[in-house]
Formats: sequence, C-alpha cells, structure tokens
Amino acid sequence: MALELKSSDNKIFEVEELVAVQSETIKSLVEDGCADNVIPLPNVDSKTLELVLDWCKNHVDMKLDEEKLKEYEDKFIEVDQAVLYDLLLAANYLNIKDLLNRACQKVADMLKGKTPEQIRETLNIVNDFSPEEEEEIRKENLWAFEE
Amino acid sequence: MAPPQYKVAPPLGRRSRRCRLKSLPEELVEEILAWLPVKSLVRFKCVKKSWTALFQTPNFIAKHLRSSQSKTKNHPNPTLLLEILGERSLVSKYLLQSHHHDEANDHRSVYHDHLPQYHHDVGSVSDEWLVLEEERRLPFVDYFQGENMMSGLFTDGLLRTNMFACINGIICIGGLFNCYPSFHGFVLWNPAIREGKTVAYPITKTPDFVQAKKSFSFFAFGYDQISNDYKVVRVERYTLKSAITSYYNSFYLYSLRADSWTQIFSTPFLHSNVSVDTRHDEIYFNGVHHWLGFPNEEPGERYNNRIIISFDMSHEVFQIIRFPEFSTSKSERLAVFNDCLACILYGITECIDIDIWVMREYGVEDSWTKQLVVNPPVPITCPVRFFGNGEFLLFDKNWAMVLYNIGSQEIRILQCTGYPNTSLPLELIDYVESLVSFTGGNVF
Repeated sequence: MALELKSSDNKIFEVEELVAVQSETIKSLVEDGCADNVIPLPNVDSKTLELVLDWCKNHVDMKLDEEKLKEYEDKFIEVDQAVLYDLLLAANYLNIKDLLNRACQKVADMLKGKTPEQIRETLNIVNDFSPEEEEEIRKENLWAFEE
Repeated sequence: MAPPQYKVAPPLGRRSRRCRLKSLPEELVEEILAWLPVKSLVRFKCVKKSWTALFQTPNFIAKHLRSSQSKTKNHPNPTLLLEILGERSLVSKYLLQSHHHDEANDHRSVYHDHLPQYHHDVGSVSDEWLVLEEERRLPFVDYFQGENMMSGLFTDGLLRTNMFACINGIICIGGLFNCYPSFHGFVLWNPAIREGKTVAYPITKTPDFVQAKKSFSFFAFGYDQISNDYKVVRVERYTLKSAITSYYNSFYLYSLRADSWTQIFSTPFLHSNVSVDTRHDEIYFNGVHHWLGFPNEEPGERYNNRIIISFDMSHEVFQIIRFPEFSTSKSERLAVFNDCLACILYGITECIDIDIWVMREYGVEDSWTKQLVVNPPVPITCPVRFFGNGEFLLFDKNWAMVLYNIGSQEIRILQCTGYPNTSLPLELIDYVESLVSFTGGNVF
C-alpha cells in the first residue's frame, strides 16, 4: 500500500505505508483515514524529506540487524549543522522518535563542551541572571568548569 | 503562490544558515538538553533561570536518566562500579570506564607484556579499562567538605561492607566505617552531581519474647518507582534457643522521602525459617531485590536446592521464588539475561558446562527454562553477569575479569589499569550518571 507525501516545495514522494508510518504523525493520519489523497507536509522541504524517508526505509529493512542499523545511523547523522537542524525539526514535526533522539544526541554532542556564554550565543538566549547571582552559581559548582 | 506555513520561524537565507540553532523551539531545546552529560548541565545552570529550574524538575531528571540509560545500552563498554577487597582487607571501590583502543590515549602498548597465560587460537584481545576517578578510589572526601566526620569516614576506609549497590546513578554503600567515632550505616552518593548523604542504621532490639541470638543481617538498596522513592531494607535474623532450632526475622525499612526507618511487622517471614545465604548471592532486578537462600532447616533434612527470597521495593513485601529441580551439584548464581531473571549453574572444577536458566515470565515458577549451555575455553572461578551484546563476564582462576562472547566464542581479558591486580574483586555493577538529587528531604 503506497502513500503520497508532498514536500513544502511541492515535490511528491511515493512511499510504502510501512515505511511512512515510522512517523507517528503520518501513522495517525492513516489510522484516521485521512491518507487517501496526497499528504501535504508544509514543514519539510524535499531535500530533508528525502533524507528522512531514507532513514525510515532503512529502519524497516534493517530492523533485525542491530549492528548494521547502528552503522547506518552513525553514518547518517554525520551531516553539517544546517542539515542537522532541518532533520531535527522534521523529526519533531513528523514525530519519528528514533531519528529525533539521534539528532538531539548529535546536537548535544556539539554543545556539551561549551561555556555558558557560548551556549547563550549559539541558542540566542538572554542572560536573566544578575552578575552576582551568576557568580554564586558558578562558585557552587566550580568543579564543573574545570577540565 | 501562497508562502509556505511554518510551525517555527521561517528558514533564513543561506548566509544565516549557521545561526539556525538560534530559532529552535523550546521543547526541542529541552530534548537536546536531556542528552547532555551531567557535568555540562551543571555548568549550564547559570545560562538562564528557567534552565536552573528545569534541571530540578522530576520530569526532566527522569528524561535525562532515560537518555543516560539508553546511551549505556548502546555503548559496547559500559561504566561499571567495582568493589574489591584490597590490602589489609580494606574494601575499596573503583569506578571503571573502558577506553577504546582507538582513542587518543592508547595504553595497549604499555600492557603488551601483560598478555594472559592462555592464548588460544580463538584469539585474546586485551581491553583497557581505566579507572575513572583520579585518586583511584571513589573520592568521597572532597564531596563532603566541611563535614569532618564524613571526611574521616572514607579516608580510613570501610572495615566491612554490607551493602554495595547503584541505582539510577545513586551509589549506596553500607557498612561499618573505620573512623572515630565509628559509623555503622550507609552512604547515598550521586558522584555526577557531587551530592551525598549519610544515614545511620537503627539500633536494633533483640525481640524480648524469647531467648534469641542474632545470627545474621542482610541489606538491600532499591527504588520504588510508584512513589519515586529510594529505600533500604535491613533484615536481622535471630536464632531462637529452644529444643528445635528456629529463626525469627526482624525487618526495618528506610525511606529516603521520609528520611526515617520503620519496622515492618506484617509479614509471614517473621517466623519463617527461610534464611539468606551470603551477601553476594543477590541481584536487584525490576524494582525487586533477590537473595539466594535456604528453605526450612528441619533437623535431619538437607536441601540441595536453594530458593530465591525477594523483596518488592514498591509493595514492600517478601516472596519466595522456587527453582525447578536442577539435580546438579553445581553452584547457583543469580543474573539478568535478556531482560529476564536468570540463574547460572556453574561448576567449580575445571571446564564444566555452564547452564543458564531463565525465568521467562517473572514470578511464574513454571516458566523456568534452560535457555542455553555455554562452555568457555578457560577455567573459571565464577560467572558474574551478562552484557547485552552477547558477552558474558567471568572471573577466571586468577580472579582476572574475562569477557566471553557466547556467539563468537572469543575471550577477552580485561586489564584494569589503576588498581592493584592482586585484589579480589567482589562485586561489579552498572553505573549510569544521573541528576537524581536527594537533599533537603526531597527526592527528585
């Protein structure tokens, strides 16, 4: 049983239902009987959707081979920041748990060594601590700032 | 053409691509944070106020713990806590973490000489396990600044341990501590966030209705997932002096939430003759602590089969689980195999088959099945545990830790740098780091 998915840039992807329902979002649509026509995915562009569908397909194909799957996942997630960002948003929107976890892990790896200032810069966060408050927290947890 | 709809801010132009993380929705930021190591999270407490608050919520802590556990599950070499009996009979604890040999610090060359004596054609590979903590012992001292009694506790060492466990990133070590004044109790410690707490054992009273002599105590640390509470159970076994030897068991339960001990009276075990064997024949699985023990000791009767005595941390009840008739003189050891409670039957003479029995359906005695039989090519002292990837950890004749891959039949000797190889390993448990906090009477 094949489904048709339409990306934000109007490209149509024909996918097997088994592959597409790795996305909980699409799964719900199918279960509600709303998947007869083309399913529009306005939040995912074709480039990203292609990658996501590749992930889904491989997860169906390699379901029983844990080692091979892990190898695939490790290679898959080695992408540049911009693509990673798109994958993250797509996995969240399409509700694909394992892709979301993997993408979050990858971003976490990028962030883990940073200083608080760098984190604020990267994620566009405004510091709402007063200098004294911030100093106090740092002092309490000095060990976390050491190598 | 209508512009595309977006749930979040529209994508910026090509030149702003590297700034895209700036517009991540809050819920995604939280998901990402849950995958960070504890040290990073502690450092990021001062990024903004809502984060400080977030890291203390039970939901986030639980989410982070799940991520931590999932990372461990997929990692080929987990972090383990090792308890060993070292010099002068002092019990030391080490936190071990393996280093892959392709990492920057390649120590394999240093240990080239220390290859194991038996080198079969199956091939032996030496794996390096480095001690995680600098001082080679879990450095309790630093973490209890300003508490003089505590620093004395651990520099002088533990004389006798009666509890050694780790659940959800909290290490629990109980025993008699050699300090002045001596301390008999347990320590709860989360090394990732450097938080600790000591709890003294209650003074137990010998029941005065009959002449009794205390013969044995045993302890267990566990987690009650229904009430999100950490508990310690202590059982005192008394021998009653009478014409027929009988036993009386006294139970005490500590709850971290209540930060107090209560004595449990309503249990059929009170006058039971069930007895726990020794401290190391035990395992914590599925929120239940299991000990190996013996059923009634009627005069003249001898039992070959031991039984399992279990304590459910949530429901606070004891139960007995029986084994099928093993008809063997092999020794038993409890383990977890493929997420099921298992019993390993092993011989103490050389190269005997090791039988692995699995309780397919927990609590259903009929579901005990002989899952498989393994035959490692090296003489062993005792089996220890299984790892998810089909590897079986054993102690060989020299008490070295050996990893036997059931599928490929490969043997790997684990070399541990940083702790004296002449020491006797007692216990090896999993460690995952967590944010679980327990100060101020709260459990998060």
